[in-house]
Amino acid sequence: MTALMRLDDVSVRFPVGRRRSVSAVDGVSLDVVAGQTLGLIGESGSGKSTLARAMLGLVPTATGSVSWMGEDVAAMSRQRRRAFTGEVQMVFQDPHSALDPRRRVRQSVREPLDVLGRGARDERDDLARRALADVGLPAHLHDRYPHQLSGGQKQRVNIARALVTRPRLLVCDESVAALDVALQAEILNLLGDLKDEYDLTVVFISHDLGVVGHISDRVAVMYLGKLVETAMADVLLDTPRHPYTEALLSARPDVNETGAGERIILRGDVPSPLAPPTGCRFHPRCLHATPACATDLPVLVPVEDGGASACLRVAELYGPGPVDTSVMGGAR
Amino acid sequence: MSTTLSKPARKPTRTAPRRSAVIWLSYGILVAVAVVVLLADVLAPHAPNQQDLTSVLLGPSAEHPLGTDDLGRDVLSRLLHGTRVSILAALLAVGIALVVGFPLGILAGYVGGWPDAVLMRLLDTVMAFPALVLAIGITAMLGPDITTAMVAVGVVLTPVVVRLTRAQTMAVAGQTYIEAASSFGARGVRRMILPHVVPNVVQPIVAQVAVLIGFALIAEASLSFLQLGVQPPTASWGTILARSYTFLERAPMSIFVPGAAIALTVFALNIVGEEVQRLLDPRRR
Amino acid sequence: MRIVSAVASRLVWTVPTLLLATLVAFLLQQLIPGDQAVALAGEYATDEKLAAIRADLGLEQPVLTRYLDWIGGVVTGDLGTSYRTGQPVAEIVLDRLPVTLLLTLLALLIAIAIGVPSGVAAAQRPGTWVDRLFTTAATAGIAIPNFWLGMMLIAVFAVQLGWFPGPGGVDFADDPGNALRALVLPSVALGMVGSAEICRQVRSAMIENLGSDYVRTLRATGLSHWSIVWRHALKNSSLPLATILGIQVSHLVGGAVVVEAVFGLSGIGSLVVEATNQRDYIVIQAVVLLAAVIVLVTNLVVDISYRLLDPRIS
Repeated sequence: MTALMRLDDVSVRFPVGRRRSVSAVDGVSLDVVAGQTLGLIGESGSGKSTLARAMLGLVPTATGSVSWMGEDVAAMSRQRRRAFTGEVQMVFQDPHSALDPRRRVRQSVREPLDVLGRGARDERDDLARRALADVGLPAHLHDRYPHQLSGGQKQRVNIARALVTRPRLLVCDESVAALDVALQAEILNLLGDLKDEYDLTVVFISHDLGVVGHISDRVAVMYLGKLVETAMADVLLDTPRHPYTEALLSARPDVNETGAGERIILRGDVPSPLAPPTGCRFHPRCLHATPACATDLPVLVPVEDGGASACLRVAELYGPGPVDTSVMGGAR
Repeated sequence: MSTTLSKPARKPTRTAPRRSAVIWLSYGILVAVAVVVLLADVLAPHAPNQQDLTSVLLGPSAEHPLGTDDLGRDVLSRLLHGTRVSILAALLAVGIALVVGFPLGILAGYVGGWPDAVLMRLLDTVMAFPALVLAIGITAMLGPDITTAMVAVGVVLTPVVVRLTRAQTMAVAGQTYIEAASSFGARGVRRMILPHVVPNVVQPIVAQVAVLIGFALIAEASLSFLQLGVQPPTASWGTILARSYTFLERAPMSIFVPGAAIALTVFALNIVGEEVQRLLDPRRR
Repeated sequence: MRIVSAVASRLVWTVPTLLLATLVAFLLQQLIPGDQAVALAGEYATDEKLAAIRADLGLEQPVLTRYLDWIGGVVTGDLGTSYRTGQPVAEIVLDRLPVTLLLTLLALLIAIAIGVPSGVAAAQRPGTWVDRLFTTAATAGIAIPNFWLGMMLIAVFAVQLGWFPGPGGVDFADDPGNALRALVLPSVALGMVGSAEICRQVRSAMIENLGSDYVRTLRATGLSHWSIVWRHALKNSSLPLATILGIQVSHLVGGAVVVEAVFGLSGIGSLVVEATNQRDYIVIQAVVLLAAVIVLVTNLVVDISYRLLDPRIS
């Protein structure tokens, strides 16, 4: 398992007012493994979208580093940075506003090639048309404007634009959240097909555990800017090892097991990231919190089946962790 | 917002059809004005400054459809030529305001931060001066003539253009397509500002240009009336009004036509400006 | 305490703007082409006079020094001396100010008296012929140059009907009654455009308010329509109204310049025109600065009083 992208202690801070700042992402270390789909899940305000933007270098990191195939992105030369830009692409949440309303969709899809200066003009046009065909947009729609397309068609265009540079890593930020359920399945299947066709590594960000569990190989759970648990998708869905993940799973509407199992209702709201709780950030809402949770900062510790959990009481609540730390997998 | 999911928020049920009469009238007025600007020489029956002291202050006749003024000049010919002078002067002022204000507005709206804060402070200050008073001040200092007067009007209009452009730019800069473009490396004037920001900012400004021209026309008339703008004997709406006002008691209605020309043109510009703005409203798409 | 903080927060905004405005007014003089001393004194001035002017204005000194010198005078009420009449500029300007203030105030009252009710009326049923009539009339009102309207009023009501005095020749100190009569037509000419602008603003604010949830709730309580309109919706539309009043003062002071010229009223408007013809630059500069001060101070007053009246703004 080789890490395509490695995040090491990455924090992103935004200034708030004159002297204060808010940490949207706080000390996240994570590996994106080549060929896998990594699901990134969290409530709104958990920092998952900011983390995605940090991966692409769209927001400056306050601490830590993002490295791409072993090379620190921040230290890249201009030329390497251009190549990196072509290799990491993003599909945004709202398919409508992610497209410039004054450009035909073919122009929008061609634009990354124009900006990166790849190939001759007609060659780029061909590549753009091919990408649009790959995402299943009929040729007669290639010269339409965004407002002339449906939501699903627009998201196909966005995916085509992200794929036109032949990236190795595709970051999908809530890319199906704005679509209705039938369309969500359609786009998710499309992404699955394209992952094989284009030999992609995918980071899939969502607040919907069902969507993430369906599409991902591995899942990382975020809460208030911190990573609380990582695990293989099937393991996480089956045996969560963090109280927050447990609560998320329990909150899922489940048509099959009505009444079975106890539903965990989280107390209170997500605290403001401006003034995050001390100790474990989840402790004010946690069912299992002890006085220690309010003071001691938990770190990710390896658990069984290659996952990791940032809970002080992980051994107590979920059984002992593995003795051999070398199998900890992607979560460090 | 996806078009498959949401219906238009408000159905345009009350776009009253009868309003279109006023709109078509306005388009008609503007076309007529444009024709006069282009063809004033052809349309005017006499030379605008040709005096004939044997026929002063005549009433309307076949020879002089709008009569003559106190120097025996044909009022219709002066009005036609004056229309051209007034319109071109207004266009000059608005052109100056756009050339200076549009890039500044883009800069302030897109860059933000301290350049924006400093610029806005300065513009607030300029806007604290009543527009006409500041225009008079600038014109008086530079020496009264039509070019300086229109530069002055351009200066007082610039903050308006900057504010409009800035607000629109800020709205555009927050859009996801701007972030998407920067995600594949688009930045700078050539790859970001020109292809993405400017096309999305320019349309609402275009709708406002009509209103700005209207303001500039009234400003030209006011300054020329005060003899700070167009200088005699050149005809413009303002100078014609100033001249006819001096013989108000002998020919009271001679002030009517030039003033009505200004009012109708500005009215048409405002109506068309509103209409264009309504058509550009994305909610109507 | 609220009064203090309300005043303080607005002063923090107004004072720097005021200072910048003095800089703009000062820099106007830098626009004069050629030798400023010659421009100020006239082409036939003697060498001694030119030298005296240069020394007086410190024309040899750097611009910043001159500005600080000038602003020191302005703060203490010394706006300089007219090189045409030899009178102190402050005296000349203050002599003319009351007419302009009175004219602007009357025009503002007319604008509100016509604009607010017509805006409320237009907002009752948006899109109907009543609304269209008012909005079209308002657009027309904005399009009519105020000085032309003044001429037309003179032609009809002074020249033809003789109901009001024609332009010029009214001394306010001598005959206040007649002077007020002489101000009727100019105030109407000046106030009409303002009423059209106010009408449009009130209309859109009222339409927004009348369509809002709280109005629906009030209707459900059985409150009568007009009581909702006047007591609640209009009151809640008063923030945009206060804003537009501030803007109106600026427009009216600007418009007063031309209207005074039409009606031969001796306010600061006709003063600036006379000064321009005589190239009395120091007077022009003073009037331009004074106009900005009037606008800024009225905006300050409107703002502070609004903050004190409306509990939502702090």
